[in-house]
Amino acid sequence: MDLTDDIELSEDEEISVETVLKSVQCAWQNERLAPEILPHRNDMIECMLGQIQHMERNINKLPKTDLRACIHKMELSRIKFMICNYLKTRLHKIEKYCIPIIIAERQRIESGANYLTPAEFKYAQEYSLNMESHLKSAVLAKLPGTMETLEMSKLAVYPNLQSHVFLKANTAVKGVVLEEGLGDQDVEIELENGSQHILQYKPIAELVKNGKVLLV
Amino acid sequence: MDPYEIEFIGENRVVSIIPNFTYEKIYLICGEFGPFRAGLPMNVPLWLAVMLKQKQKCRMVPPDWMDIEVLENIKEEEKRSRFFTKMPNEHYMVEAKLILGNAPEDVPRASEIKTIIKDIWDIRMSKLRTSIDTLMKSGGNYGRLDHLTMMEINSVKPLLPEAMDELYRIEKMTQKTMPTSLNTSTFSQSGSSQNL
Amino acid sequence: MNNSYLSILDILVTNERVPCRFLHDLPKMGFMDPSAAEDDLKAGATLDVPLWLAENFNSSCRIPLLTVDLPKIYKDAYREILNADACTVDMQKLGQHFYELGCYVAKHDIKGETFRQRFRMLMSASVSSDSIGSIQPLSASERKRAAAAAATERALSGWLQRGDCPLTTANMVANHRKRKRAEMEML
Repeated sequence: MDLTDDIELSEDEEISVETVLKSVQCAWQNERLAPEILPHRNDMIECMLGQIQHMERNINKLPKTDLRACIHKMELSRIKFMICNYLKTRLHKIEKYCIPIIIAERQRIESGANYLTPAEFKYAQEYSLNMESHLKSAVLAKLPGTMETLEMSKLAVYPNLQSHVFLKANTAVKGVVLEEGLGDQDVEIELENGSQHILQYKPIAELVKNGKVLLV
Repeated sequence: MDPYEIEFIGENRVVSIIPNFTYEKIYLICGEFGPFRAGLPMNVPLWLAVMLKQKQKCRMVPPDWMDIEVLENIKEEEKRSRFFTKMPNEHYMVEAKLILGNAPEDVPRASEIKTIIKDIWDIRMSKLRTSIDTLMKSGGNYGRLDHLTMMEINSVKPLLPEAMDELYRIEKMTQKTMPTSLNTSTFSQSGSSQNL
Repeated sequence: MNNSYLSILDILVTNERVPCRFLHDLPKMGFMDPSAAEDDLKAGATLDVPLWLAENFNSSCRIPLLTVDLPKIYKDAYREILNADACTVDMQKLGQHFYELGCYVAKHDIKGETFRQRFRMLMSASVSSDSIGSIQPLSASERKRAAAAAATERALSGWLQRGDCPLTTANMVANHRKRKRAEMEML
């Protein structure tokens, strides 16, 4: 992955590794439970991976049977599991929603608000190209001429932003507008600090991204 | 999510142990813990407590709420209330399972405590079933679920959210369906673009 | 599930047969009606035709060639039964794709209400041990939902029972029964 990306952030703000770990855990939890792909947290992940490397070097200096070594190894395995699972979840979404993600990402890159890391974006593009050429060589090339064309956009699978999610409010949020199923009237609700709700993802998508709510 | 992943999240909670060894402070990524003094209680994350217990390096100190009287009160309150009451912590089931499972000898009246916790869980689960049925009947597009723990919320996934999704979809489609006759091609949503 | 191009469910749903009445004589199409002896399909003939085909009959000509009649599950008689007690209707027999097909052909809004009423059946199917009996009257999508819920239930009781200290004992099964009865009483 790209190491040059967001290093300034972690240096400027002097956040403790403990805080970074907590953010990674929230990012993991949100990514697991959100229907769409969320903005990447590469700064946090890189910082954590750096910590892990640093720790591993120190552990190697300890005798193998040292209790501290066991404890540190256990903690590192836990963090590694979480990071792997986080990245795999993102890759899974990238594969599933490949086409809309690439289209949306191109626009976001222009405005500088990209959701994917450069490596993820490259992966998405290659995945899409591979799928296209596979479909062409495996099926379409063997069909009569008129049926040979392939519109990739038709294969697009979109995340269901209307799907319902559980959340816990990290802070009080006013004016969340729920879309009424029967189209009567939109209802506005307030999320009190610490309260839990089940509602559609779409009206609270921004709140997930800016950390005001946590998906549970 | 898998129950074990929720257990994993719950294992980050801090609990109290009494180590039987002495050691200096340990600097973990999730914070600093220690120093370890043989015989003196101290706080560590639950996963570490379990690990030390399995290595027979500590006794676990049951959390304050793991007490017959406290739990009886919670159980009564849970029975009485129409709503979910606030549990002693957000991962009470994970804590109970790991502490009672790994260190029953460290918890006074462990088996009675186990029974009460299980009763509370059962009461809440049954309440959860009736409330999600009510939620669906009353519209099924929004619900407030304060004080439910993550493990409990997970027990109605994917049933509840997906049923709500389906209901939303049905009602959206019903609005869109043609007002009178069906003999046009517009009633197909996804098939019509195929031009077979 | 959601309307993607290659949604198998959607293909299955649009493959359901719907009753159609042909409005014009169609030359050489008599083969569609196994009971007809002639080469041509006569105006007024009624046939069950897959939805996708019915749709293409109409979209391929300037004038509609047929009218689609409502399958009986969406007709008034069943509508009344569904209104009275949606849980009594055997969707496996009568409407394998009741909700999905209904979204294509039936304009009335009883599907949502039916779904709400029958949700209770999904819940009890998901905790029930005699799985076959309890899922029998469910539609295809309901059965899928009940199976997913049962998988969650299994994972959870697996978690509760694992380890040195199973938090649920054998009387969990007994409790289920009690619990279910308690639910019924509240409804």
